[in-house]
Amino acid sequence: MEKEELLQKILHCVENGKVNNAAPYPPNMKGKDGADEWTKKALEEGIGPDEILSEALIKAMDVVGKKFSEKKIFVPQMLISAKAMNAAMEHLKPYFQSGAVKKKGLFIIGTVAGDLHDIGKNLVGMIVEGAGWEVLDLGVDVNSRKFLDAIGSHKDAVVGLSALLTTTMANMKTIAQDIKQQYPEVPLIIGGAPVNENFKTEIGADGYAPDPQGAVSYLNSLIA
Amino acid sequence: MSGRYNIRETADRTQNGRSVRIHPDNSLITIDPGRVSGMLEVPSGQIEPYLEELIVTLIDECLSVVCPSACFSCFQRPEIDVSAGTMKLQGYTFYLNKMVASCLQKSEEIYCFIGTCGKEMENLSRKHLQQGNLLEGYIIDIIGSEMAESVAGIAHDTIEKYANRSGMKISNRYSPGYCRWPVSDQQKLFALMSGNTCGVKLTDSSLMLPIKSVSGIVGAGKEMKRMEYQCSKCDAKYCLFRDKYRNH
Ligand code: B12
Repeated sequence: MEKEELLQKILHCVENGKVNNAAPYPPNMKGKDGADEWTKKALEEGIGPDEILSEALIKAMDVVGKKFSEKKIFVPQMLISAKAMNAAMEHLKPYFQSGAVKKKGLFIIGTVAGDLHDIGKNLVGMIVEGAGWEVLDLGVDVNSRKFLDAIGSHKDAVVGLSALLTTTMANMKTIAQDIKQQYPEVPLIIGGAPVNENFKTEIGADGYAPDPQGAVSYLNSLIA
Repeated sequence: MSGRYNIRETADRTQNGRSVRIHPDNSLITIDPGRVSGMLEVPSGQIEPYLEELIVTLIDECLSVVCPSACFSCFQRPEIDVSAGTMKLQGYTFYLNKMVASCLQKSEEIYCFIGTCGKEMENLSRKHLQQGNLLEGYIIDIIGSEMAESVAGIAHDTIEKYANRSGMKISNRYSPGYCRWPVSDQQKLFALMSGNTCGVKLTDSSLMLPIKSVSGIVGAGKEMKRMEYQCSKCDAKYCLFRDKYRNH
C-alpha cells in the first residue's frame, strides 16, 4: 500500500474513533482494522514515526478539534478519537523513549488547593494529550508547593490550573502568583466554571480557556 | 420505615440530637441516562444509539459496585437571623447567607446530613481510565456525581419521614458552598455531627473525601415547605439545581 494511503487510513480511524479491529465503534467500520493495526502496518512498511505523528495523528486530532468547535461532534466522540490516538501512540512509544520523535511539549495540570472537582480538569487533560502533548496530571487539592516542585523538574512545561469553587479562586490566585514569582517565563493557563478572561488578567495568568479545545488552541499557539 | 432502607439508629451522641445511619438498597439509587448525556454536553436530539446503550450499561456497572450510605443528626432550636444571614446551632454560627436563612426561617429543628457513594465509584472510574477507556471512565465519573446527589435525595426523603412522625414538615436541602454559603462552614457541620459521618472525612480545605459525597442541612417545622428550587431568587449561575442543569 502506498505511504499516502496508509497515512490516510490512520487519519481516518483516529478522526472517526476506530480504535482497533475488535472495537464496535463506529458501527459502520465494524470488523475493519483500526488506528492500532494501521499504525503497526505503517511502521512495518518503513514510514517514519515522526511522519505518522505529524501527518496522520496530529492532523486527525486537529480535524476532531475543529469539528468540536463547530458543534458537529461532542465530548464523547472526542474521547473516542483520543482513545484511537492513544492506541496508535502505543506503537510510537519506543521512538519517544529513544528521543527519535518528540511530543509537542509537557502540560502540567491540577485542580487547585481546596477543590476536589476534577471532571473538567480530567477532560482537559485527556483532550490535550490526544492533541499530541504529554500531560502530567497532579490530581486534586494541589498546592503551590506541588506545582512548583513539578515545574522545577520540568522547566519548559506549560501549566494549567482548574478551579470550580468560587472560594478556591482565591487559592488559584495565590498559586498563580507563587508560580509567576519563581518561574515568570512559564506559560500559565486557567480554567473552570467560575473563572474567566478578566480573572486571568487579575491574577497574572497568561491564558484562559472555557473548554478543552480552547486549551489545545492556546497550547498550540505557544509552539506555532 | 420502608423495607429496602436498612436504617440504624445510633446512640444519642449529641445533647439534643439523635443520629441515624442509612444504608439504602442500590435499587433505590435513580440515575437518569438523559441527565448523564446532558452532562456530556450532547444535545438531546443528537445522542448516538451507541452512546445511549453505553450509558445504560455503565449505570448498571456502577450500581453493581457502589456502596452508598448516608447519615443525619437532628438538632433543636436553631436561632436564625435572616437579616444577618446567620444560623446559630449548638453554639456554632453558620453564615448561611440571607437567601438560605430566609428559606429556613421557620425551622424548629435542623437536620444535618452527609451522603456518600463511597470510594468504589472513584476506583471504578480510575480502573477504566488506566485501561485507556477514556469515555467509559469519564461517564462513570459523571454517574458517580449523579449518584452522590441521589444518595443526598434519599437522606432528604428519610429525614422527611422522621420529621413527619413528629408532626413536622421539612424544607429543601441546602449545602455549604451552594447559594453563596461558604464551603468552610462544612467544618462546623462535621463538628456537629461528632463522628456520625458515614466514613466521610473533611480535608483542611473543607472538602469531603471520598469525593462523591454531598453534605447539607434541612429545616423542619410545622410551617415548613419543600418547594421547587427557586432559581430566580438566587444568583449562583452554575448551581447543580439550576433550571438549565435539570431535565436536559
Ligand atoms: C459534578 C459536581 C459535583 C460532584 C463532584 C464530581 C467531581 N469528581 O468533580 C459532587 C456531586 C460529588 C459534588 C460535590 C460538591 N460540590 Co459540586 N458540582 C458539580 C457540578 C454539578 C458540575 C461540575 C462538573 O463536573 N462539570 C462538568 C465539567 C466538564 O465542566 P467544568 O468542570 O466546568 O470544566 C470545563 C471547563 O470549566 C473547562 N475547564 C475546567 N478546568 C480547566 C482547566 C484549564 C486549565 C482549562 C483551560 C479549562 C478548564 O473545561 C472543562 C470542559 O469543558 C457543579 C455545578 C456546575 N454546573 O458547574 C457543582 C459545584 C461546582 N459544586 C459545588 C459545591 C459547593 C459542592 C460541595 C462543596 C457541596 C456540598 N457541601 O456537599 C460538594 C463538595 C464535594 C466534596 N467532596 O467535598 C458548587 C460550587 C459553588 C461555588 N461556585 O463556590 C457548584 C458550582 C454547584 C453550585 N451551584 O453551588 N459536586
